[in-house]
Amino acid sequence: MKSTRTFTVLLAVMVLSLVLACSGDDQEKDIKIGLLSPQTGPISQFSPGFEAAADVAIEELNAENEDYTFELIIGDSGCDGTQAATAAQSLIDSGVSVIIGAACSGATLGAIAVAAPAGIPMVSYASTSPAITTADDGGNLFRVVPSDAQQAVALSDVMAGQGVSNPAVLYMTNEYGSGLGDNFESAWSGNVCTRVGYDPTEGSYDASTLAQAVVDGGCDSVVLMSYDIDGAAILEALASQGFSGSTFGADGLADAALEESVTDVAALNGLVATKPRSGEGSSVKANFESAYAAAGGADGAIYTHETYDAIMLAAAAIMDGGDDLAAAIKSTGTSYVGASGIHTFDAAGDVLGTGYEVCEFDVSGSTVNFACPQNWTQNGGVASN
Amino acid sequence: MSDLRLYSIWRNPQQRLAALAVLALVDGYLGVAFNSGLISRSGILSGQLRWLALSVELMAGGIAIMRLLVGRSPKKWKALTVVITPVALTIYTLLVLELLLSSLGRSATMNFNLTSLWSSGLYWAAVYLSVAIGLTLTYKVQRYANFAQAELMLLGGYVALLLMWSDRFFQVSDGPKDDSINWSLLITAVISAFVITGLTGLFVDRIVYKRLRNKLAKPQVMMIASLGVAMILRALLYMRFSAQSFRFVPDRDWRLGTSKFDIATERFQLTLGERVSEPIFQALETSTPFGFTYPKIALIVGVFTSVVLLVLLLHRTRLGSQMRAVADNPDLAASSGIHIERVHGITAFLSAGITGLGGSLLVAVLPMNPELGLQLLLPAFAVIVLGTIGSVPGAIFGALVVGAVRAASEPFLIGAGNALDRPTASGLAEVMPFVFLVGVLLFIPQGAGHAFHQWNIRRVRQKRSDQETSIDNRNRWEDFSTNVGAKLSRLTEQIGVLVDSGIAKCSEIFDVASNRIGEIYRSASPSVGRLSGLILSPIESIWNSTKQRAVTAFRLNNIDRETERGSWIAFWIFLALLVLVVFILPSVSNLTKTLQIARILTLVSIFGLMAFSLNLHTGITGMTNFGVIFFVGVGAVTVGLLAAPAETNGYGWSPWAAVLVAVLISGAAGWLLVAPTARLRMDYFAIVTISLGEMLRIFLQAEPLLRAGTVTSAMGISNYSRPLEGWWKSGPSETVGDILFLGGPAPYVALLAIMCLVVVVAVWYLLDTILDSPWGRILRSIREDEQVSQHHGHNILTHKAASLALGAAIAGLAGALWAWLNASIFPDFMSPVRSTFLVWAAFIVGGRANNRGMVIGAFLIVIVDFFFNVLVVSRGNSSQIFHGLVKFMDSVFEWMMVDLGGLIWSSRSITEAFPKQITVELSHLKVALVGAVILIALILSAKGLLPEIPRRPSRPSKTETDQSVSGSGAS
Repeated sequence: MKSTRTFTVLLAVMVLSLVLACSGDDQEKDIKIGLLSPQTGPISQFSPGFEAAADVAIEELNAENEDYTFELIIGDSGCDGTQAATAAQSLIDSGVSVIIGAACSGATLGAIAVAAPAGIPMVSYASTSPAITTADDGGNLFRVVPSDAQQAVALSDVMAGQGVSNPAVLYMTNEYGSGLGDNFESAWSGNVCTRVGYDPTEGSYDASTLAQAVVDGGCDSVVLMSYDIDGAAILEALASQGFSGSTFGADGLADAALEESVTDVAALNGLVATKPRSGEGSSVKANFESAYAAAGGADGAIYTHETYDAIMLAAAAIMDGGDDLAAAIKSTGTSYVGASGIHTFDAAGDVLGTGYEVCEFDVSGSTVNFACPQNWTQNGGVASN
Repeated sequence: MSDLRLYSIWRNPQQRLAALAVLALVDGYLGVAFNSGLISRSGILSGQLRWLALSVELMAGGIAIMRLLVGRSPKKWKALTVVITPVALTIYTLLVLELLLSSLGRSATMNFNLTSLWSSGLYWAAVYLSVAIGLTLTYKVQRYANFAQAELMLLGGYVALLLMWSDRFFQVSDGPKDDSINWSLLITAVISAFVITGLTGLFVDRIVYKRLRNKLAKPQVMMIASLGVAMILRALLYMRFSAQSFRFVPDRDWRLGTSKFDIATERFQLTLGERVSEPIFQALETSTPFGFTYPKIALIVGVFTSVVLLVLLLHRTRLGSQMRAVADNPDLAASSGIHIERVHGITAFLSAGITGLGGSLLVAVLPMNPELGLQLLLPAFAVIVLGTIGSVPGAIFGALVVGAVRAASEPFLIGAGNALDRPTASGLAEVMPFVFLVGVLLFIPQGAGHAFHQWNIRRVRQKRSDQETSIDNRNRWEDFSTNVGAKLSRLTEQIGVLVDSGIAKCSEIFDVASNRIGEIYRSASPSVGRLSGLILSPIESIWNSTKQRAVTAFRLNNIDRETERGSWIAFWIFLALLVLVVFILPSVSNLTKTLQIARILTLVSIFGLMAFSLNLHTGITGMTNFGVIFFVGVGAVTVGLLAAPAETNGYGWSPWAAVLVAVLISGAAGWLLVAPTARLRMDYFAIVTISLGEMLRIFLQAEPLLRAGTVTSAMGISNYSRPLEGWWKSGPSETVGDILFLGGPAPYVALLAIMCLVVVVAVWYLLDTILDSPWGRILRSIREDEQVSQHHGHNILTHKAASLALGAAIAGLAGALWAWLNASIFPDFMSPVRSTFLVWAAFIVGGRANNRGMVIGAFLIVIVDFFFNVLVVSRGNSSQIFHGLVKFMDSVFEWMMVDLGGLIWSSRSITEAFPKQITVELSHLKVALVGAVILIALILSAKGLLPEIPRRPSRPSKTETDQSVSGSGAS
């Protein structure tokens, strides 16, 4: 009997406080930044990385700007339009100025359908679909990930330079993988040995079948449009099947931390991978990476640099002031030097890349050397640093 | 005369089908080979669509003819056709492909590597079997489909990871390469995973399923309860181990590039289409042997060994006979002195334990995160259906077949996909188990296990009649054959004696082991009971007293929810409560509150329509439909594709025309579904429908024709026009914005919400009217007893088809609304976790066969999501009330992890998951709470919040009042 009463009282307090919470006033320089992170759903394994990167950015902002207090409010996008839109609604209801996200393009498009009418700009850190460019967003949607088209050209130039003639293309059947794969095929002038798509969700593909398709096709090399974990699994399987051709990759694979995703580092030997180039002489990238490591960020993470950049850029725009935050973000994003490259927004809120770094793994015994001795630019092609 | 004959052919359904099939074949052949015939010449379809239509035509014609042949084949060939049909279908598919490729002037090369094929097949078989075996055992003895099975597998994996991170074993896992494998960690992990997962299964059985069993809950209710359990378990795993994926390394040497057996292999090449010099089929010289890695071998050996042991246990021990007795007839078993609850407990232990064991071996192959379970659950269902639900040997057979299909389809898909500009086609390998299953059920509706059983019976009968006849007419050949036969039988007898003695030994060991398990169980059971009592008794006491009050309140006001009036009153009470929650949800401005309310209304309408559709199929007609999202997806994709601009791969229709066609197509899909599925048992029908949803989802990922809205035709459908959007933005939005003080134009979603409400009320009225008609009674009679209904002269097939079509059309409409709400369609929106399962929860919690309950259920599901989202965003939001609570929750969680959990696990296991600080992941807590809401609602009232109102034929004198009640009910 008594417990019931306590329960009722508790419930009443909760409801009351909720009502009070709605009417609570915000502090003037208290800035709330929303982050849509795919905490559940098919790419949930990458959400700890996004959130760690976001935490790094928020800590840095709070340390550097004493007049402001930045708060990070995280919602679960679920990698799905409906869930992301509901989460965006909850973020907006808690008074965020800007939403960073989402990762999956479907989630971003679902969320912008809520955020744009509410006048809240969004900066995506990982949505690569061309549908983002043409979305009906009233100028509120930005993204700091460059289009796949350029990277595909970079990859094909690098591979041609290495004397590859008959590559197998293995790509994920999600918007990133199939986008990069399609663009690569139109950029690559030579013969393609075989093209194989797979769903990168664990439990829905078998790395050794994919490796076997490459070996049986008689391909002289393989290029992976993959994330870190599945790419590592395929590289290990290729090694197990005795594949001796050269291996190429992009983004997630062009990272020294790839070593953590394989048990046998020998599988990485000779892997050449491209990734967006960061600014000349800029220390932003190095600083972020050391802060991320110090914060215990997850290994095998993707798009952490972009997450960091999106928050820093949006925060800079907010601090610049002005009523129209979308316009401020647009003007801040002009030759903005970030950890993932130099960003300049075009009319549709997309960024054009500034070229790519060409990196290589060199493994001897159990020591892994990861270096990026070359770079690729649209005008200059592949050149040494 | 000829007219008459044609007419009589048309009247006979089989002949009609045959005629249509032959027509389709001829037309398809003419189209592909000579570019003439109906489809090719009509000019309606062009380019890729024409080729697609032609191949579909050819395939449909071929399948129809094959089905007719199988249907007309003599009974004694039945077993043979079961084996031959899949092979024949494969050959026919290749033939169509050959025809298609030759006329396109392309060639497809398919490489087969024998060892790679069988090893990959075994691997998939083991992966699926480890979940499927638990499913089928639970189904056999406890008679429900356990959706939490995949989560139990994850638990086994995490037990292995915990051991790997323990201080004792970490040295083993992290040790340097030394070319010798240390088995201690692996063996400990496998045994611990079995025991701990098994005990978890037992615990869940005691606190959840036992209660429902005692209430004589329907299997559907048990199933949705297991869905709630799955949500809670998955959320707990997420909270404990974070979303990162981890891999189990039993020993460094276990996973090296050299940790493999090299197995010699043969390679073959199949070339279809334009062949220059190659033969159609050739053996290639074998270059390298295939490397079969250790972790995969361990998984295969471990899973198959444990499953074989289970089969022996079931068939050779007393415990096994008891379990089978309970499975066959629980009442009879109880009357002959079997302790039913004990058998249930042991079943729960074994089915969870074996799955957990599989999980501990799987995590050595794949990196694992809590999302992995869902990937394996649906294929596991396909496996148990293929092998006949509830049959353990059937599940083994099903897993082997599905594994083989999965592995063998990959080379075909890669080859054909490359040739047809669809390299993504290899992604379809994932749905091949479903495609195969649907294909097989077309030919053997009761699954392979049933077919085998029938064949066995016939064989035994045949043998007996042969023995009888053989005495009469002997000849020399028979003398000879009996001689050989006698020798053979002596040989087999001797082998039999050997095997029997072996089995006797085994079963002795088993009896001892099972006695031990029984003892452990007997001693553990009270403590498990005490533990669950300790946790549950305070909740229960609160619960009971609140329930008492609610019940008295209802009694005082004379409200019985199972009457028309009481149901309406309860409906309005629940609705008022939910609307109250909507109003207290926090927001910041008028504009955002408007957005919030509009979004809630739209979502409630969409889920309400889906629940109506499910209610019509499952609640009224009694067809267990698990493919709500399939019909919704068909509707959404059609609306999106048709209304997307023509220059970006769409068709540029108006949204109104698109929605009309979408509803018609969904309805037609429902109508067509009845023909192949009419003879299926209801749980098989469920699996077929869920498979259709998965197929559509994967096709959305892979098929270029299902992409529109961007210039590069990237994945997904976007930029389609929505109804009245232009009109709304040209003026009315400003006016409405001013009226509501929004400080700007009103958002489009507000208009959409109003349209949705109109649609829902209209559909509800229509449905209630239809269901009050004689047709509604016929549907209910089909649900109650199909045979009786048929006996009364109703054509079951037609009525079922009409019900399916109507429900599917409603779901298609929901899909159109959903497409307009999201403004884009990406494959992930079709994930059953976020659609079908939620609608099912709304259906069960709201109250089966009561449309008012559907509305309340849908509202509840939507509002629970919004309500707990307030909790999710409270961590970063210092101006929110829960913000302080989160800090407290974090400290409690940290105490549980470090101080309490620290007794069990090492500190390394905590830092691996939480490298920086230990916090509660609120979005997963939310999922756990949603699961808890479902469970509590079910345990509270297994019939749902608004149960079905029993309908009896009204007495003549009462007709008028009844009509007025139902009339007011519908309006």
